[in-house]
Amino acid sequence: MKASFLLKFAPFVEWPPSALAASDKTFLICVTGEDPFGRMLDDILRGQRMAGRPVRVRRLAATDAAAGCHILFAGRSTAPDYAPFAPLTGQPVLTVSDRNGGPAGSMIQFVMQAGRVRFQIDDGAARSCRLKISSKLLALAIAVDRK
Amino acid sequence: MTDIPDRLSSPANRARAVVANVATPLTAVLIALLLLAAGLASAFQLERVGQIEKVRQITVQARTLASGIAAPIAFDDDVALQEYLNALRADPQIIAAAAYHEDGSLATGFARPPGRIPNRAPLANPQITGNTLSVTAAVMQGDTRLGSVYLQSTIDSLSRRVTRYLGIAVIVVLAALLIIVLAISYSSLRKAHQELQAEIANRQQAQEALRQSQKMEAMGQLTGGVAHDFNNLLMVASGGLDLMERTTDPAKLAKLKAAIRQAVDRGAKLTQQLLAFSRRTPLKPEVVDLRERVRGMDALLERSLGESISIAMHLPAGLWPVEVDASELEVAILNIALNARDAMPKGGVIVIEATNLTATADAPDRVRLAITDSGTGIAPDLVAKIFEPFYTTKAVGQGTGLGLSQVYGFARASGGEVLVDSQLGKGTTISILLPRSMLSPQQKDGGSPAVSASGKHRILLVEDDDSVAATVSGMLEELGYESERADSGAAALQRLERGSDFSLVLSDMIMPGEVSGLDLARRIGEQWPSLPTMLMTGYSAAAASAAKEGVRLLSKPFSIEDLSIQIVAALDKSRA
Repeated sequence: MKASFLLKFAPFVEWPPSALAASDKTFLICVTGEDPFGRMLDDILRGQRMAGRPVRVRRLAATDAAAGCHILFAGRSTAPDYAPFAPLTGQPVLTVSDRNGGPAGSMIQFVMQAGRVRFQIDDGAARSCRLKISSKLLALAIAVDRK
Repeated sequence: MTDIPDRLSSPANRARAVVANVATPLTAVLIALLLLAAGLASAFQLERVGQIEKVRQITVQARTLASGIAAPIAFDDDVALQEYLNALRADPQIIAAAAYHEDGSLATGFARPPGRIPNRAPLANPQITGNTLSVTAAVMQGDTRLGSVYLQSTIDSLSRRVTRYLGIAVIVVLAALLIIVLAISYSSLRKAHQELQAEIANRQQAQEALRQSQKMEAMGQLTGGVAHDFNNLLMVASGGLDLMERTTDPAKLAKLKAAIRQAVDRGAKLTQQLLAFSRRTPLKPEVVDLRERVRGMDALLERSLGESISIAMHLPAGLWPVEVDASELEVAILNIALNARDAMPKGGVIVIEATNLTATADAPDRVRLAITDSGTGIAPDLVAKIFEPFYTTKAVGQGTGLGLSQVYGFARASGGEVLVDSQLGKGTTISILLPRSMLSPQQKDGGSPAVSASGKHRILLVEDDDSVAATVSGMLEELGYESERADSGAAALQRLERGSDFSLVLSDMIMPGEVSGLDLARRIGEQWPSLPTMLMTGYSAAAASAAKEGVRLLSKPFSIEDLSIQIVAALDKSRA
């Protein structure tokens, strides 16, 4: 479910033009830390297109820079210095994580509520990274931090 | 007599009349049909526009819904989805609404009868089945397709829609009916009008014909008397000439000459009156001095009434003028006089008198012209009948019964009336009352003395009749003119070719040969424009055509005085 949500966030988010021009002609969804999706994510995203580009999945090693990604999901990690979002301050990357057990500081955090996947949004963080999140998505979030 | 052309008799005219009579209702029916068609067309157009409007409205609703549920459908938020859909329940026209996932599976929806939601997303164009309208819209976010929505709405049933147009339909139909009714009544009015006009034309022609036949009837009565009278005049003239040849006594000669002159003058007057009388003229009222007119009829009356009847006229000076058709007036007087004569088989006196009648409360100023006889009189029960056309007491062949009806018609046409005062055995007075005219009558030139030639003038006399030529050239010589005679129009032209040293051409109008007097006058007008021409004729119809062309005219018989005045006038004009 979360895997499909990753892709579905994309239409409700507007990246700055620089983010789409600079990268090569793909829409990149990156996963770092522990990967909770496995093959399922690849199956969901296969053949999908976003913003006129084919969607690709890249799994990042701990040392890889996430600068070229459009969406970065950070899973759990046992690494002591695990702070996947720190180098991305000001970068137009939509950061996603689990609230429960995942790293802090992401723009969208998955929350389990009554057995369903919901999310809360830090719109202030997104805006500081020049990402515009549609009000429709904000309306659906269970909580929105607008600062 | 005048034939009366029936204006509707020719097939072409009849066809035209039929077309004219049918055209109006046909046009009206056409207009009414057009009106109905326009009403139907506008109803259909309204209907179509209404349907398009409805489709657009529901489509917009579907798109609004699709836009609203983009996030809930993407993230499977059924609660939010349901809220959006429930908002549509408030609209009673929406009978079904559903949202579908991107893969076409039903997310959620509601339906109330007769609405129904399909299980799979039915993406298609708007569809109208029966009274329901189905619309689908894709749920898009950016250019990503997230699912679809389906809306079903009722549209007004046919009967409801028809009811909506019923009011307009009633108005349109009534208007159409009104047009047809108006057209039919117009057409029947028009037909009646045409018939009336044809009737009027027919009656006018019949009246015209009646008038002329009345005149001819009087004319017929006259002719016998006049022919007899002419013989008497000729007797006086020829007998006088015989006697003149046998005597040399100047006193006797003078007496004979005077008698002949008198006879000839009377004959001339008689023929002139006859010609004026019989001329077919339209009714032409003119201001008339009764005294002068009635006096001018003396010869005509004396000759037509016979020797046993004498006429006494009491016509005071100062009679008011009246406005009547002069020739009809003369015919009327003659008709009354003829009846008076017939009422006095043993002879007697007919008194013609005229008096002014000053206005009373009932009537304006009038002039009364009364003709009285001392004859048998008319029975009181017949008085009312005598003015009826074709009523006559005379034997077959002696009268047509048109005479007094002409008198009645004349009086009515002149705005006057006729009164009859009769006592059996003592006599009858028939009075014509004519309204006074405020205009004064035209003065006629009285006789003037002969005017002799002033200076030396040569006149070319064109006349085929030797005796007339001799008489006229004698008159010219007497007046001091030199004259030369040509015996035909052609001869006159030849003479003029040789030298046009004449002051005037005096020509007879009707002559044998190719060049008539009128032709001659025209030719002279073209070739020698400074040479005046004057025509002589005794025939009235020819005189009219000459007068039309502006040629100077002398009516035969004419006196030496007439001739002298006309010549001086013609020469004056040519000099001017």
